[in-house]
Amino acid sequence: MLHTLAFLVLAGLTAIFGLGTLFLPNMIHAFLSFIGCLLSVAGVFFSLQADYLGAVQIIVYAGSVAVLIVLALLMINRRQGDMSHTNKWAHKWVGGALASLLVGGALGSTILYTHFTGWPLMGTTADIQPVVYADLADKLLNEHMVAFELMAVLLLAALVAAVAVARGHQAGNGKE
Amino acid sequence: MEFINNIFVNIAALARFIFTWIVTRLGLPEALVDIAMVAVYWLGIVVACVLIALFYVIWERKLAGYIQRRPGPNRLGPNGWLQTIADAIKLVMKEDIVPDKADKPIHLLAALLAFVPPMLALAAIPFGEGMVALDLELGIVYIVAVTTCASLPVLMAGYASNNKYALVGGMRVVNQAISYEVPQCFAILSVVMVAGTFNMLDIISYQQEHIWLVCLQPVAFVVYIIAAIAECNRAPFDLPEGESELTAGVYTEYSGMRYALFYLAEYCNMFVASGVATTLFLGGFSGPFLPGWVWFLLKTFVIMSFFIWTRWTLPRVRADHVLAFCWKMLVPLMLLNVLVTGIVVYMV
Repeated sequence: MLHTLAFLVLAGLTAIFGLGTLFLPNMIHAFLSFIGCLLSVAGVFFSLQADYLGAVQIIVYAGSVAVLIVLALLMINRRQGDMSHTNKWAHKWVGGALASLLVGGALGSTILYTHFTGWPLMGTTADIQPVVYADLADKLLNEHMVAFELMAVLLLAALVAAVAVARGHQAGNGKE
Repeated sequence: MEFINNIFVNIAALARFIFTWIVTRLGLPEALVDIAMVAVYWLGIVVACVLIALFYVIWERKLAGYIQRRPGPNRLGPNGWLQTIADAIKLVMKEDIVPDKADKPIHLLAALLAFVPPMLALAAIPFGEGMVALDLELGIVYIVAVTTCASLPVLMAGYASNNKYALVGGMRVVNQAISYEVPQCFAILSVVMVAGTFNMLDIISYQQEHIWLVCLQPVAFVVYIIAAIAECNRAPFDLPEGESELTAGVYTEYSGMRYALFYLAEYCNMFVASGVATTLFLGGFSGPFLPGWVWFLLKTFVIMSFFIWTRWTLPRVRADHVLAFCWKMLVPLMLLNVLVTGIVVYMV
């Protein structure tokens, strides 16, 4: 009962913040709304007893959006904080419609093919299996070792590329 | 002795007993007792936060006085110890000034939200035996997650003030917090690898059975303390405030109660950092003779005093040196530490 109520409140907040992200005219307001959305999703994870997922959601997404804001502030000349000047893609209607159709279709079909048995946590919380974190580590670093390492290598390559781009730019400035 | 040790636990039990009695008399659902208890816990944490901040503000000023060979505040109350209360009353009664061109809702929201992350983190720190409001299996991961968000309100404040100094200060906060989070997480990881658990109480009981983890992980302890100072934006890493270059940094456009909230949040963040350091490295609330919560307060007092000591002794570090020190010194050092810890844990 209480859990269902918590879920409904959090889900509603997620939706409201998500709409805010899309429709707020001020870039920073949209970012803050996005953070609210991510935190609400973390709240949903917590209410479904997925503590680890919730914590990771906060660390990886909500915490790091701050970096995105700083980059946006650094790079974009916001006149009145209005995004219509800066977002050159805002008026590409066909592409936008196609993209939202694809994403909406994928999500919708997933929802359609899931067999829901009722509201989340309508019953007791006792029938949820507690996660053993050692198993999680085993899965990541034993079973899916190759995929995990490939991801790490990809991130490393991105890091090196970022440094190279920044360095090259600096050196170019120095010569001029 | 046993009574003093359990005094807060007994108060909580009494509150639960009273709530249960009321709920059963009125025939209300049982779940209300749990909700009421959550409210009691939060009330306890808020009161603790305010008392801690009031105490450490005056202690900082006194200790700074001793370090610099001057008396410090010494007029109000016995030897000046009531000065903070007078200051707090003054701040509350001041006019609430908001700049005309500021982003007003966010300006207010930032001040209100500044206090939320340290409060959420305090819920998971064990103050004494049985004195943890939120005993999570993933306690330390939860604390890391919550404290990550502490830089967001400050960035909001920097943006909403519509002031160059504030904006630069806000960006510096993010810059610093994101960078120093990396060595801090590695320091915590080293402890978790040795203790083999994320749970705060289990980490303490590991230390009770074996030895304080500061003896096994001295490098991690030092790096954790350095990173904690940087995350709390304290000198020598107080670039976001940097009064010699940025007036008052992010807090330039804040006054009265809103400034007081940021001030309170700063001390609470410091207390959270020292509480985590105490729990992870210094055996938490365990200790002989005295009750557990007294030991916890004593250990955090030592670390807080160290934070204050560094602030009044070291000059501010230059902006690029702050980041270079983090990425070129602390991160490789902690990676090496994790590697060595892993090998040793594997072999033992």
